[in-house]
Amino acid sequence: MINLIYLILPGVLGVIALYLKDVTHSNIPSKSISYTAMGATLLLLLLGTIFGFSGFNLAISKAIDLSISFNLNGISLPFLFLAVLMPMLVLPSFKYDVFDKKLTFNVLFLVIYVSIISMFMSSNLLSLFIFMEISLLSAFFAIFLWGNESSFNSAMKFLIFTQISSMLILTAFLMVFLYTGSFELTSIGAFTHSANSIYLSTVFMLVLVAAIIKFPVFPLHAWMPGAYYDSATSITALLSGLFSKIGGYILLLFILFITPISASYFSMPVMILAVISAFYAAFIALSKKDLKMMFSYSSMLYMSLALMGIMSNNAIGIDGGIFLMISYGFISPLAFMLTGYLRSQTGTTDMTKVGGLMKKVPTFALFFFIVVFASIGVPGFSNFIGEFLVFLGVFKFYPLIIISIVSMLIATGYYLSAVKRIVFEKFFAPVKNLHDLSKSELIQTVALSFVIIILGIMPYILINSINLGVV
Amino acid sequence: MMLYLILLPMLISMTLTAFLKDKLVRSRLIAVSMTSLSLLISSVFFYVYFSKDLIENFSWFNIETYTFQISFIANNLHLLMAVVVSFISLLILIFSVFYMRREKQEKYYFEMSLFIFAMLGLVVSNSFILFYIFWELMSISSYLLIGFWYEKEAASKAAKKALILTKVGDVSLLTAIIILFANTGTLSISATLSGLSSIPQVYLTVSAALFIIAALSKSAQFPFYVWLPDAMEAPTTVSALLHSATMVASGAFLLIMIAPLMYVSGTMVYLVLISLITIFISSLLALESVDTKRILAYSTIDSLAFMFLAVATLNPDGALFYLIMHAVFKSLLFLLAGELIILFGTRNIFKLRGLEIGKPIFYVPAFIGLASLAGIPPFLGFFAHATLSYNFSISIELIFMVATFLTSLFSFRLFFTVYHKNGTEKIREDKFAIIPIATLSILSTVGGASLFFFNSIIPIAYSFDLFLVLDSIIALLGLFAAYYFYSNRDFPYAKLDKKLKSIFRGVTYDDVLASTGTAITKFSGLVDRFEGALGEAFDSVGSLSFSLSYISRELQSGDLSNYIVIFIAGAILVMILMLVGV
Repeated sequence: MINLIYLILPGVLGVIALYLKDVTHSNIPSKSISYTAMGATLLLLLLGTIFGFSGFNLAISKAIDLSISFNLNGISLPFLFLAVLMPMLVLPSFKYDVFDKKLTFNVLFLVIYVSIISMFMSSNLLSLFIFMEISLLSAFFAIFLWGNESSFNSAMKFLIFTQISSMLILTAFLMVFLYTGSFELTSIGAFTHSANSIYLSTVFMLVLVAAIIKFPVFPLHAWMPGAYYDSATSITALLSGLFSKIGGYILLLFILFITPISASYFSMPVMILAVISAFYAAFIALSKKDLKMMFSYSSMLYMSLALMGIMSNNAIGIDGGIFLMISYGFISPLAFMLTGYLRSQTGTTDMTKVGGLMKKVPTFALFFFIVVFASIGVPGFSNFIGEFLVFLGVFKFYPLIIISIVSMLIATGYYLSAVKRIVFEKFFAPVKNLHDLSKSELIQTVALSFVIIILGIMPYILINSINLGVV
Repeated sequence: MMLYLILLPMLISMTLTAFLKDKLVRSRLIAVSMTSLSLLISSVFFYVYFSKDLIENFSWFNIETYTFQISFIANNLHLLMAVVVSFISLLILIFSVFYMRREKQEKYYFEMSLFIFAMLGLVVSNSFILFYIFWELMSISSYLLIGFWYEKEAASKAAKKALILTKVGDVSLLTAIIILFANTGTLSISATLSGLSSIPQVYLTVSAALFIIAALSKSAQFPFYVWLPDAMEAPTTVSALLHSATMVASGAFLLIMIAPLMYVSGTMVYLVLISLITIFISSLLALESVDTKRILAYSTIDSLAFMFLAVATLNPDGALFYLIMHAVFKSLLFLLAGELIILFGTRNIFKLRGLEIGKPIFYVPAFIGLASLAGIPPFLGFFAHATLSYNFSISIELIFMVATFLTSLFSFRLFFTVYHKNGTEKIREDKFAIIPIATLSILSTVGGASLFFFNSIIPIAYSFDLFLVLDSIIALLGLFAAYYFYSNRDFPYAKLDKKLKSIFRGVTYDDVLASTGTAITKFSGLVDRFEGALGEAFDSVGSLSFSLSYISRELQSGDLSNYIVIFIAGAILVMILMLVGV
């Protein structure tokens, strides 16, 4: 049995090691400390899935029921898998745009890593909230410290939006506490799971709005384009791959364990909003000429689909929503990593300024194809399973909403236009001398693609780890 | 009972060509030998499981009571298709050795292996999700193959067009599958077809309509046909495969396979209508085209519309027979066109005419192929017409005769324009080109007789009646008309073609497609501008709150006198409120 607290120890030790390195002026590269910490965490997670996990409970204050308690619920494992594995595959991208303050970068990265892992394990809502806040604040600093010129504005916008959303979440948590006298997920569930009142519906609504901001879903996505576009590659990958799942996770906790009855009242309106959001994001992605912008809105499209699945009131849709979130959590880092590579080689991500890359950099083209095919739901890649399950669940919820599947056609349209623009046809670029993916980039892209393909061929790995009934 | 073995050779071929990269073993050797192995395996299976109906189920994953199963089927229909697919693919790959010798080999053979793999998987799958997987893989591999010469703008455009139009079908297919799965709780095709009565009629109709859309887009029927002629930018061997046993055939195969569902859905009358429209559009377009490959592409659309017509007249087995016969003579015709491209460097029929090609080795196979296409006895097409037309009503028979005439006319227009009575060309033949062409020519000549024992494989109905006699006479009339118009070198055929062109220009709706594209782009531009406005609105809310904070900062000036004024004002307000009695 692996105690869950062990999962965060390597990260914490890594932060301490980084501090010591700074104090002692040691020559060890910061990134190797980060890699070691994350590798150890991954190993522990694997051991845990084989030998089983045991919970960890440390009461801090009995009066307000604050405790650091790590217990897995039925949906923790897939998110934990994403949070442990994905940052490790994203970190190497720092070389594209993080040129100074590397130590600080690594510290922030590890802090984000540890806090998000803790968040997905926390069964105490208050400590969950605290971990969430730590990660979001670290992300705020990470966005503007290593972003481009306009990144401070974007970071501020990100901060304001996420703080509003966090306040809503905190209010909801407090309301739950007032209702049940506990922050512990299991004891809350016992009180509220089959209860039904306006009070609980209000709680759910607060969480819902917060989640809509965090996903992001139309119309509260105004922070997204700037934050994704202006951040450094690895931070964008973290934001779209990991941070956008926080809202979904908390929403799922409420839908499954805390206020399932109230949640069902909101299904229809949220579903319609999510459909609008999906089409909205798809159309904007279609009009974008910048690759990074296109991928940003594309990520919004898939998060809207995931929201549809989550709100569909049946196991297939919810499983599909979770699967899609995890699956796209690996695809979007790959996509953003490729944009980072493109910018490092050609100096631009503008699709009208580069073309015919297949001739010069075939390996890049190969992975670009993988991103495109995986995103548009080609079987064999993970997104297909997610999309299929989401649309099946949505159909079971209300048949007509299956119309939303047309958004996949628009997605095909803009992805293929991107291929036509930058991969096919005659070569042209601001810089003539391009180098294909280096060895380390190759390892990174191959690893991400490997996860995407494995999840596509053996989806039961992830699906069997989801257990909707277990608090 | 390991039906998935059929798929194994192509999987090995894909892996080897992808990783060996032509270094250890030539990828063409790998691809050809692995395809032969598939042919062997599928023939053995066909022999072993003859007239048995076996299904092999694997559970992929479960959610609650829903089982997402993968399942393969062995019966005469599916295994016969597997044999046909691997046989035609083998011949085309042998021809590729000749055709693609100057190209990047491993990429080509990898994509071809993927293509054949997808089609083989499609014909043996008995679960809708597996069927969809292979269906979509075929779209992707055809996209890659059409864009094989990606540096040409035309190829890159054609690839994009093909995938977007077929994706419409993919999405409809997926929707239909979802509808059926949600209603029946099983993904097994055979179980779904035997439990149709449990599905509400409205869902039957909707899913049948969606299946039809899927089939139309994959088989390039009206209104999706525009992608197929453009797909001629692909290497000719790819066209040969795409047009005969794979890609376009999969649409017809889908409808043949789920025919029971189609027949209870009440959508067949629309399918008749669409097939007839397609037949006329495609044969007229073939008449005005001057490119060998494009003419053949339109002829494929035409032939597939025949199959759809047979399906729509409750004769799926007739459609199946036509499909197999068509695979033989259409691959023959494409290989011939490919040979002409390599040897003479052009696909324009008038340029070819100038080259005076007249050796029997060129025109005899061409005549056999085109006569099969036109339905002239005793070639394949004639026998295929015999079973195709079995259920035709009088009115459809009459329309069909016109279609036969047009088909025969454009087929022999191609023949008499390109080939010459006493040619003078001196060209060396290649054995890799001759073996497949000779095999297919012989099959096209004598293969029609298979109609008489086909019955023992799949029950099939045919009749040699008055209609068929009239039909072949009309086909011959088409031949003579073509001879009259096009064989005489001095006849002003160019003028005739110009006239035809001016009449039928409107039929390709490229303009409509292009303007739809611009409309969507414009609309997305509008949405984007709205997005900009929305972002600005949020920004102004932000700055508003900043200015509000400035005002509130003014209030907290720390100036005592201000505070006193505010305090007194507040106190007065409270007193007034108390006096009013709130």
